Amino acid sequence: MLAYDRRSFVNFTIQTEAQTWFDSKLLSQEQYGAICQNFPCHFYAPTLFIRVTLFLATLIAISAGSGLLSLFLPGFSGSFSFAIRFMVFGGAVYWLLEQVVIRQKSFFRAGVDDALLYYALGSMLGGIFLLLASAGLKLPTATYFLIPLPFLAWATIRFTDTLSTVVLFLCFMAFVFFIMLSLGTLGKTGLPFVVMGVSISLLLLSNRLLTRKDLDLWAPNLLILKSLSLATFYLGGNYLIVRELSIALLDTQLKPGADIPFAFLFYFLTVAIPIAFAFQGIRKRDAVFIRMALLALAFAIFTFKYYFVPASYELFLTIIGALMILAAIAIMNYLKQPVNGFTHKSLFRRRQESLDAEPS
Amino acid sequence: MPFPYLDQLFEKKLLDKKQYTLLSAIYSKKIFSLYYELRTGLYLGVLSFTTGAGILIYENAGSLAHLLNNVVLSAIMLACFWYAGRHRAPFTTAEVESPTPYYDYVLLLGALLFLIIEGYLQNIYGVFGQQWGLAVAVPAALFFVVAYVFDHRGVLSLAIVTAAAAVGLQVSVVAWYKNNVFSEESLIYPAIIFSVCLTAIAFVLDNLKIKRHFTFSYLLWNSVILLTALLAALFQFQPKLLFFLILATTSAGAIYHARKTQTYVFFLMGVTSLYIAVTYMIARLGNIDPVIWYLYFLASCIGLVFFVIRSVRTLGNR
Repeated sequence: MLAYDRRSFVNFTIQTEAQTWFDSKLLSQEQYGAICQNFPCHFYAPTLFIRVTLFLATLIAISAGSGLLSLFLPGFSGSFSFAIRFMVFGGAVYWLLEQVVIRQKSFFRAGVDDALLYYALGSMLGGIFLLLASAGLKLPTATYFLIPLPFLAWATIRFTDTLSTVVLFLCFMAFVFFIMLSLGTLGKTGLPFVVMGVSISLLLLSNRLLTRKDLDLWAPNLLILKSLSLATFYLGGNYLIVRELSIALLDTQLKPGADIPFAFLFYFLTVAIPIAFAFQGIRKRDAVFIRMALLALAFAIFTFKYYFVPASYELFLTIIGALMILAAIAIMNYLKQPVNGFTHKSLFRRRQESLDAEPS
Repeated sequence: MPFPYLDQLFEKKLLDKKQYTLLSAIYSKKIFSLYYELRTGLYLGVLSFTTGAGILIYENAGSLAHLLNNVVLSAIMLACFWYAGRHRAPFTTAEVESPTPYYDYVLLLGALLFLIIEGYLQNIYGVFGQQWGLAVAVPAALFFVVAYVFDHRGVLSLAIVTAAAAVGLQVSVVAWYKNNVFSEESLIYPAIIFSVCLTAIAFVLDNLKIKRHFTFSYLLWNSVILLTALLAALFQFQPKLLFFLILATTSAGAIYHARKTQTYVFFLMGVTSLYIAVTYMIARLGNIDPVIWYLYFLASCIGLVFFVIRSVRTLGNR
């Protein structure tokens, strides 16, 4: 299932964690060296800026290469032949990625493999869309978000690529959105509830998969899935989103004093969801829930300000900023000594100051 | 992030008992850190407070609220510097740990508020008269002093950007993106001189072992200014060959420094500028067949990939 050598991938994860420990002075140089020796990894996996350099270079090279090839191919014309050409290019680039770059050269998140993967995906999907267009088919909008799903799922599963996971999620949600739109008034009215239902299902799925030990290499993808489904769950129940979308989609003009159907339910959800997220996050010590709770809270405050607070934005910004500073300082003061294991100190940076944070 | 390999490491005796206990407490979330959440909250709080206050200070001019606003902001600024001064560790040339968790943010808030209040005084009362350069140079000088005395990299970056503004350069991502760093051609030479001087200072201080952790901030800002200025000079001035050679030398220096210190952001900047310059010089040779162009891009980029793989070692081949 995995394109990379699993043993090396695991060892890479171990080496990376060990490096964090070493950098925070938790390991001695000898221990770090011993771990690297015991868990060898032959990947070529450079740091971020080298990855960006290689990504750009590969993208230019491959565009030039495909341009060069198309100059020498016999005189095709028309969108049909272009579609075929895109798909053949996509396939060839994918072969290069799998057989040469990953299998022979052991590139791992090195920019080269990223560029080839995205080029292959884009070329393949571009070819398919062009083919559909040249056949003159008039497909429902939702189809255009359905077609990329298997490709993006493949990239997520086989290459553990996180950007593909993000696009996969967005495509899927867009698919659900347009399906509901096509169902007429009933679908449009039920949209918030369906979005929340789908989000909850994806959340439960990601939570269950995250507990599986054999899927630990996909943990970053699953954490993204979890964060995004929490985000769409909140946006599905947020009063501002629901109100503005109902006005736009249902063509209703709200008279002054009138409100959207189920308004009180959405008022309640706007406030209750961030609180529920925070509660769950603190109870389960779940960083994803805590972070999404903070983002949702920020959006709830914005919603409240948008409809009910006539003060100017600069005054509002100043007051919110001051409150944020005071709240953060208050919490840090409260956690000066760890409370139930909660600490405001960094676990892995500047070890000297936080070593005393041992569990009771 | 789950990490299910701790037991394995412990069984192979690669971790001792104490390390194993601590690490399993961390990964099982028995210890749970809110470090990033709280720091981000503080930082965003400082940013939104100063953004709001920076606009607010110009409103309701003449009224009591306006006066009160000014007094309160000045009081907060003074309180920030007082707090930082009280907790400051004695000056050394080495890196100093933040004495309290809030120290960095309090100092940043103070510096930003100073910029807001000083700009306001100059705008409304013309404290520095028509000397707008001086009005920017004063906070720049103050920020340099504050950065060194209180050991704060954020304030140092603020100082460098403000100093660049005093020379007339707009150093920001937006200005760079809009190709607007040099609002006039006449600013290209000041930009080159400015960044060369500051880079020289950075290397001298680095050699004297004074606040060596500042060197990166200096070089980052200055290589952005210098390489952009040299590219602009190459595009606009004659003789092309001279400016090309200067740019190539500078890029090579950036690449050398990146490899020496393993700070590869300079590698990216050096390679990108050099590549743009070489391509520009080739394009000037006249009308070139598209096939040659395709071959050039293909060959040069594949060559670049091989150069990077040969010269940059990674985790895998350490």
